Amino acid sequence: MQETLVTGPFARKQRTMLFVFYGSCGLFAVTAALIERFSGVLRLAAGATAICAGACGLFSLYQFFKATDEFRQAINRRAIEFAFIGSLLASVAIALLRSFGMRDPSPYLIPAVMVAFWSVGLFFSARRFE
Amino acid sequence: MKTKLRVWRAEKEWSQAELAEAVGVSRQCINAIETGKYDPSLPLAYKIVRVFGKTIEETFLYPDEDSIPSKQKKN
Repeated sequence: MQETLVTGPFARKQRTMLFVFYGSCGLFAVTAALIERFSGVLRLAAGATAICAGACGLFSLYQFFKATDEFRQAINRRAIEFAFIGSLLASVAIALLRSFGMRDPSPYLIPAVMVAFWSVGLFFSARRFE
Repeated sequence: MKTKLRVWRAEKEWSQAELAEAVGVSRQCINAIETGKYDPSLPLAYKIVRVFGKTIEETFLYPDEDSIPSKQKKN
């Protein structure tokens, strides 16, 4: 049977943690964006939700990296290498673009780019070993 | 790296999942080793061969020196 990232090399707990991580990232992005638009109690609520989502995301990522065999660790390592190189190039590109007059990007851009590169790396590393 | 894992496994009539459980890794790991897509670490290789009562040399067939690319030879 053809295996994919969803059915394949990652155990059920890992897949669950991965989806919790992405969900937390999404919730964090939405609530972080809403903080600036709200005021008073709503702003406080959005901030608290963003912090909770961030903590949940970090916890699920930690759980994802934990409890893996060496095969899955090899997949994770490749994905992290890919994310590191990608983020490095992206941050240099952003710095260059800023020197050419691009307006300051959101401070959340680099973490978002890092997660995006990590996801792509994870997908292709997992496929490579299938 | 080629292996005779599939042969040893067939002799014992074990599934990949059973072997994976015996050595404490995932079934996908055993599948990747059998298909030559993943080279196991030395501790895992020893665990696997001990399950079958074989040696590393009997189980894992490293390519001859002549067939290793020159770039790898330097290392």
